[in-house]
Amino acid sequence: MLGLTVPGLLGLAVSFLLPLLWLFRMSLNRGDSSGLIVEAISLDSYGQFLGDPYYWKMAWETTQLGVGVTVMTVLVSYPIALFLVRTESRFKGVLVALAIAPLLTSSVVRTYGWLVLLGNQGVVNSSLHSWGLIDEPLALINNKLGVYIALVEIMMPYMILALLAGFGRFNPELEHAAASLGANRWRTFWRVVWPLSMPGVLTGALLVFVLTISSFITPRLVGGGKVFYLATEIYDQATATLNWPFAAAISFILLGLFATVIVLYQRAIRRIEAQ
Amino acid sequence: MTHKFKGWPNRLVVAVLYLFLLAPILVVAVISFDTQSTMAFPPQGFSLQWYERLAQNEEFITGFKVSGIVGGGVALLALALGVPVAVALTRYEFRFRELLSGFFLSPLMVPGIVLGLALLLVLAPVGITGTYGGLIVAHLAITVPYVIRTASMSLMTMNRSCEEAARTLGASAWTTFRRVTLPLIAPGVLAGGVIAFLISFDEAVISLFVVGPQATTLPVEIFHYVETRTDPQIAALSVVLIAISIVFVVIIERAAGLRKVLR
Amino acid sequence: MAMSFLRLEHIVKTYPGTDRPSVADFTLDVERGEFISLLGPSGCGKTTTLRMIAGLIEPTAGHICLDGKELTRTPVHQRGMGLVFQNYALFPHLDVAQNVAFGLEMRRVPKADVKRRVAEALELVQLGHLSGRRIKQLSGGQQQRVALARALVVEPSVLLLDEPLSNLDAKLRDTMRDEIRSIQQKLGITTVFVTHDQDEALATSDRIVVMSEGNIEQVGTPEQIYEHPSNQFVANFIGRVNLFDAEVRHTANGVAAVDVAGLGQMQAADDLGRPGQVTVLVRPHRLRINEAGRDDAHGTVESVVYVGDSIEYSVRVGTKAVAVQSVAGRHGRLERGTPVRLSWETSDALVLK
Repeated sequence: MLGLTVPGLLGLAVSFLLPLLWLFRMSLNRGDSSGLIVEAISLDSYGQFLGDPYYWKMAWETTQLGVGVTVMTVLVSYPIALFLVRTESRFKGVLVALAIAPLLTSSVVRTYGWLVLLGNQGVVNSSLHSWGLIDEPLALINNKLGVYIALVEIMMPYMILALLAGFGRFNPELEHAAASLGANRWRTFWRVVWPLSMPGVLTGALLVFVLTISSFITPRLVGGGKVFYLATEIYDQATATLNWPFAAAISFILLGLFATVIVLYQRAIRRIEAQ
Repeated sequence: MTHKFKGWPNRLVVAVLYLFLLAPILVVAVISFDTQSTMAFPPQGFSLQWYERLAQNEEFITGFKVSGIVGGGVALLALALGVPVAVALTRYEFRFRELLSGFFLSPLMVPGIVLGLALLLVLAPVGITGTYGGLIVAHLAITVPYVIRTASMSLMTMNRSCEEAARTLGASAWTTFRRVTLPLIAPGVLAGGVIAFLISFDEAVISLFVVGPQATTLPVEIFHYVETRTDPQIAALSVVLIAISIVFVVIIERAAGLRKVLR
Repeated sequence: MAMSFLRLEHIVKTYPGTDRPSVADFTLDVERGEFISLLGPSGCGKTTTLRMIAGLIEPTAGHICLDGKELTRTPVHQRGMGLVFQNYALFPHLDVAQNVAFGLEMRRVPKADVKRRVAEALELVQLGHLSGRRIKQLSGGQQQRVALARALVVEPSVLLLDEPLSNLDAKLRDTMRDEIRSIQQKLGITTVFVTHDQDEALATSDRIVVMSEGNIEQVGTPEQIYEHPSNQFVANFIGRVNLFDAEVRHTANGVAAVDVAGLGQMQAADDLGRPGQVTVLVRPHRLRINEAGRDDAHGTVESVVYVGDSIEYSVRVGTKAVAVQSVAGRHGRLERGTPVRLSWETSDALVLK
């Protein structure tokens, strides 16, 4: 019955496989900053990236962004997810919907919201100013700080969803049992709740990491073109510098970063399952 | 015993985190009714002027139409391609089934910026960038996986003996699918279609590479607008889009359960 | 011998990835109009066999013939058999009449005929008044009747029933069982009935096929299966039994003199006709129990349960607990601890391998 998959395979070949193969072929060409593309089979573009400390730093900062945003997203999402699992409020359905509804709002729109919040005359700065806490506006956009803040918020619904799914096995009775055995709150949390939520945390962390290091809109708009990550660099090389071979090479380096993280993730999962 | 969150300090933490999560949407909603034209806070007064301007913004209106048409096309095509794959993956045992299933989900693992550039390289020489067809093809790879997932879920949870009953009653495989399977998985299929539409409608990064002067989608128009200007017209537009999302959320929730399909 | 109506010839089904066949070398002849049960514990291969007859599963080896025609490779939708599923498998998006009409539509029966035949089929299962109902609005018993009507309306060559009563409550189960049997006799339709419930099989069937682990243990009428089980598995599966270790001293003309552990010299019906170590089967209600003196007792009464029509004793004989069921009120009740002797009519005990 493989016949049923033929239309899907064809669709995916045209819209996915073929373009990626083309992109790989492009990464082997030679390009320069004048937009000229020389047909070749060479690793020059990869060499250009790997031979330049500037790009090493960019790759490192992209990884940092991924890890940093992931960790912070876990920290701010976990209390909400735990609350949603435990609550017996009759508004539980609404609260769950509120927590994941931002997913269905375009990230362009939410990024715009952060520009309004963090801008020099934005909500945060004007509030602080009117309370007399600052004289000069804090620099919250056009820098890394703003990108981190906005990305954490944008990733939260994904993390909450993953945590809620992971908590599926979680039964509040377990907490009661642990407490009745004399465990205090923190011990109950670290010995019972946290280990049980681990699969959800890991699923969410992988998803958030992957989405973060491939995000473009938010770093671009909140970073105001002054913050550089691999994704924004691909765009710049492809549209401004018109060095397509180089943009293609960075793309595959980004994919390589992806693959590395996924392999590490699977090892971590295996180790946790072995315990 | 839910002591940790019974106390008010914990509730406060959760409330503050909720505020953080919803802040950008709330602030957008507030300033969309503002009278001043910069991105400043607090609001100076109440007006609907940005909504009025929005109604006259040809670029946004055209973008909205393009996104709607592309989204509809993507939804239909993704269903046509994805549902048969879901049937094959859930109803038949064959070699490479796992591999195939992995392949169909793999586009979700490729950054939009990479896929966008890759699509540009293929679509530009054929001359279909900036056309409806080009945009629909570009959004296919990232929507088909969701259709496969929602349809597979419905197929796995439906009562399979209904299909067998139809077969013993004389229905061919195709008739069984048309008369029994399809009606029973319709909610999942509908949810898959709506999700495909929403993803396509919101997609900005891939589209950035594939749009052209003849056809530019709304998210790309918004992106370019925000890059250069920041007046509350975007806020008004955002509120309209959020309202539309809410309608869709309700549809999906009714049809299949939001949490299940997003998982 | 005349050609049977439905013939299964050396059917084997081995699922990929398993070494033991789910059905091993299954051969059976079913006569036209016969009601035959496949009886056995779960996992014995009965449902697999039924699904192979229906065409939902392809046998690994063997042949299935219907009315002299080979059917083994005929696709399921061209076999013209009626299958009733354990979970009913009604189409939830269609109403009662549409469910029943489905098979007729597949056969392109003219509209007017469809209407008439659906009405007749629903009358047959006494649901004529519910034809416009949604499936969800029906009780379990009603759903089962609809499923039966849907299978029968196409006038199938064979009616296949896959544990059709197991989802019904006990009382309804007996009613439906009798109803299925009476409809089957009225229509004279060849029927294969899969069940794990011996009472259902005994009450409905012309013949019973007892299965275990993919093999046929015994084929016979309910009486044969009950009175003359061919081995311990069948004996244990059908009704309650006592099995005694024994040794045949002498055997002739179908009667053996046996030395039964704990009971001494007894007699039993013997189809095997050879000496050696055997098992003797006696049903609890065929055992006689009498108070005895300390010296000549076989054992003592260990428990007494009064169940209305009868009294059930458990008697300790050596290390063995023997179940005895005796008609209440005939001899009064024996107390716990009473020393007793057990005995039986020769024809009520059977020598097994």
